[in-house]
Amino acid sequence: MADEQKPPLTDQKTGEKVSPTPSYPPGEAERMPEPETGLEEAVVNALDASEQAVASPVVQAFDSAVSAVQEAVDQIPGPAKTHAEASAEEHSDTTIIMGRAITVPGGIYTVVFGVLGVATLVEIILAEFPRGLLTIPLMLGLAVVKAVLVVMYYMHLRSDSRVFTVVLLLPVAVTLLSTLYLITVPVTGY
Amino acid sequence: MSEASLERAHHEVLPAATPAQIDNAKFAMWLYLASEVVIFAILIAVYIVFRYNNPDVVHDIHEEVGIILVSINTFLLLASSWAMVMGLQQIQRGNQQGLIQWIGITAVLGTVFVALQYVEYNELGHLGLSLSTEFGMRFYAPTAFHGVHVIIGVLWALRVILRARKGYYTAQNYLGVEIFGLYWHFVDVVWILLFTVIYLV
Amino acid sequence: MASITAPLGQAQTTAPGLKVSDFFRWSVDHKIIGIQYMATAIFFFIVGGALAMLIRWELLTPTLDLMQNGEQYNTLFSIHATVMIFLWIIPMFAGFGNYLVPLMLGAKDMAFPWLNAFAFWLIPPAGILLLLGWFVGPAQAGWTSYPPLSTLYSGDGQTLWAMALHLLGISSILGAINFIVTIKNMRPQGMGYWQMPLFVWAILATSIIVVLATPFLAGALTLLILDRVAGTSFFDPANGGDALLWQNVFWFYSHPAVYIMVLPGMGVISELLSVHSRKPIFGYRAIALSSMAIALVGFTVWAHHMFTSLTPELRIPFMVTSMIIAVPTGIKIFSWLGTLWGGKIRFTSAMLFALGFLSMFVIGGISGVMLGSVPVDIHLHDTYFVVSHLHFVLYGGSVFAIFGGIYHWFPKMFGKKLDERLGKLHFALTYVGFFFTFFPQHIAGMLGMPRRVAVYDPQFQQINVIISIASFVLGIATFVLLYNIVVTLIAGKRVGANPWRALTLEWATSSPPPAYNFIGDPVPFEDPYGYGTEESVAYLDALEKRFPPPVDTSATLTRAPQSGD
Repeated sequence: MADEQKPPLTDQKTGEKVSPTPSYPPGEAERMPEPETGLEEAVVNALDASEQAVASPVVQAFDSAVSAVQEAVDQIPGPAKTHAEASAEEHSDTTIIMGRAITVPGGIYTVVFGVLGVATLVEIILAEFPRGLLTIPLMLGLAVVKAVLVVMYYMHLRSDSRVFTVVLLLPVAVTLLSTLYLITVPVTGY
Repeated sequence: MSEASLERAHHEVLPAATPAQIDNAKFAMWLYLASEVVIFAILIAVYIVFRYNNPDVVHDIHEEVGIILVSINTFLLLASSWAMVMGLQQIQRGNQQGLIQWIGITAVLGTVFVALQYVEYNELGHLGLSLSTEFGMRFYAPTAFHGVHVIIGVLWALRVILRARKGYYTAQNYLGVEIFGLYWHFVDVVWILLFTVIYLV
Repeated sequence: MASITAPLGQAQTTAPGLKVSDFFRWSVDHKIIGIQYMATAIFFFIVGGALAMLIRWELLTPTLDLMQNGEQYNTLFSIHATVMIFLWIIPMFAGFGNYLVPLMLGAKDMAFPWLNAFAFWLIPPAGILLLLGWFVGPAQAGWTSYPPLSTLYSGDGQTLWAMALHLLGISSILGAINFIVTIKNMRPQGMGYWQMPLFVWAILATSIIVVLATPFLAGALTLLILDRVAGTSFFDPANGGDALLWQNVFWFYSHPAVYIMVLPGMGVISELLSVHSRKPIFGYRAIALSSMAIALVGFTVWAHHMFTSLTPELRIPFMVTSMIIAVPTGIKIFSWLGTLWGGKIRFTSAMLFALGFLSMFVIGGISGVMLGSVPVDIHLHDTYFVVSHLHFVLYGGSVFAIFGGIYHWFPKMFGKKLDERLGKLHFALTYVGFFFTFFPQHIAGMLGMPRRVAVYDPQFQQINVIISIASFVLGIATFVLLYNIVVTLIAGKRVGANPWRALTLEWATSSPPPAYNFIGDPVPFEDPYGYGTEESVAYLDALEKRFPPPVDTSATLTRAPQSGD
């Protein structure tokens, strides 16, 4: 707060004195009266102690952790690629995959589309052939990979604000937990 | 205080240069999608619980129905998503004609998807899978709810095309397309999961 | 930083010249929408209150007298609860949020003014739909609408009930999205998250819950409607459904919804206690973060509503999470007490209701912890103890906060202060009436009187007569507030822009605020609760200079009453 300045007790424009309203005596600035009884003293001590606890390293650490989280959510775009890099990649027809430049119309979008198509084919093949122990986890895994690809590349989550990631992950977490609960809890209770 | 300061909120403008300032409308769209996640998750969870407890019933139905039609549908929807981002790329390059063409493809693919889903429902109806069967209700609820979303998406695509024909979008002002894209891709993501969970597993 | 700098410009004390009819039209001004929300909510409060009076009238005797049969009684309490929760408390707080959040942030309006208006205009049709259900075979399954009561035994009104709730849910979600975007993006220069007023924090936490939890209700209602009209049987075990599914999904929503209903009230209380005791709020960060903690932990406790239908080994985890949620609540309570301690407390009507909230909400919280422990709950499940608990939290908590908020912000909304003598009468009647309505219900519940019955064991008659008479007092008390509002609007004294000398930004403009709220960009005081410092006094004095109170109040008494501002 570099630009902090003392507030004027007189109005800046007219230079007139400003006086408080009659119903609010000027003693308002006084904060806390001196404790008189033992109980009052105990409460004041407790309040003081908790106010001092704010300065303790534990609370300070917690405080700065909260601030860090808040800043991470609010300020840092924090994508895998910077916004500029990603949009440059999305604007061009050439994309670099595993060190090789590939040029197709649409660039990275078309490459992702190709991957999605192949993954879907693999899933269908997996489903049609005799099932093994790994078939279902593989298919679910492929589905999740496809979904993540669409979200990251087509919905631009890899280069957009982290806030959107949080917005997406919160309901996913909540619903995954509740779905797991519904699966594991016996259908009819008891 | 003028009209303009209020209007800024819901007219599409480019996101500010600093990435920390996120755009109002895009943020709102993501929040809306967050609540959509929950609704779809409940409908899918109802199915998953059934699948988990009755693997044999589901297996028999899968054997009977087959997956050719729905696989075609899946590819259609994936392609529509691709067309969507291609359209976005075109307008980012300033090519309005390209935007109209690609979004047009998106709309057509979406329409064909809904039509094929209708055909599929008819077939399933002939097989006796009605809404009142154990499997049927859990199958129709999420897929039909998704179908409604596709229909809404197609209508939205038509609106984007209309606005694009009036020259509304430019290389600097494409947020409206991007937000429609978020919706469309979300519908695609839901289908990717529905396809695997309901038709394959 | 600590001064109101030049851009505030000319003092504007003239009312924006709104007519009564402006409040019945489509408007995208958040202030008009806020008042529309509140007026609608108060209308439904009267409807729900009238239903409550009928319930208490019926319960004066242990037999059926007012009602012809138990089914009519079922409808009565079902509609009473639904109206009070979905059409009174939630829209009322949405109204407060709409009116205050942009003002507190120094913004011109919400992020999406049109969406804001749309969200409001979903509410009147939903209310009408709900009440229309009365004529087509009313809903009788309680506000929880457990199947099979709601699928096999209720009339078509239950379908309308579900559709009405759907609309209200959509309205809530749209409103919440609007709040989150507004709070994230429209804070003024110099106001970080930690300089936001606590009411804004509370609205933020509430909105996050709404976005994440309300869709659960939407999903459950969709399935319920399908069960009722499309021949599915999601909730019917006889046809391969699962009756517990509804309970689970409903409480996935409805337990977080409890915090949707009470967190904004806590935000209101944080404002009121600080302003009216002229002291900085104690533990600002603790209060702000405990709102978030409540929001998150609130998602893990839902099954404590279902202890009697839950497998025994699952009861303990939910008991533990339910107990944990008392911790952030306790942090808030003690922070408020710390705020009061040593403050220069002014017993205005608003402050009285805030103190009433503190005392009554603590009782509700303690009975909540009692219900959260499994052995007690098994005994008290579905008795009047539960009714008592929820009314202590929702009436003694949320509604007291609403009343306090009305007294506190009425001068901001209309430029006139509600009559303090009537306000104190309202408080006294409400406090006494409330306590004797709901406290004896604890006893009735522990003695075993079940809820949701019209015919009860004659041994409970004495206690029910006491409850009913007290509830009539409570009912009458509300009309004192309504009378106060009407009289003040017609012939109330005009007051200045900041009659409570509060530091938050909504007071840094004229009352009622002009269109677009502020002339120029207001600069927030560095600490919204920094009362009692020389700087704050100087700031408030400068503010008063800029927006002086009306010179001659007698002139306004003869103002033509047709202006409904």
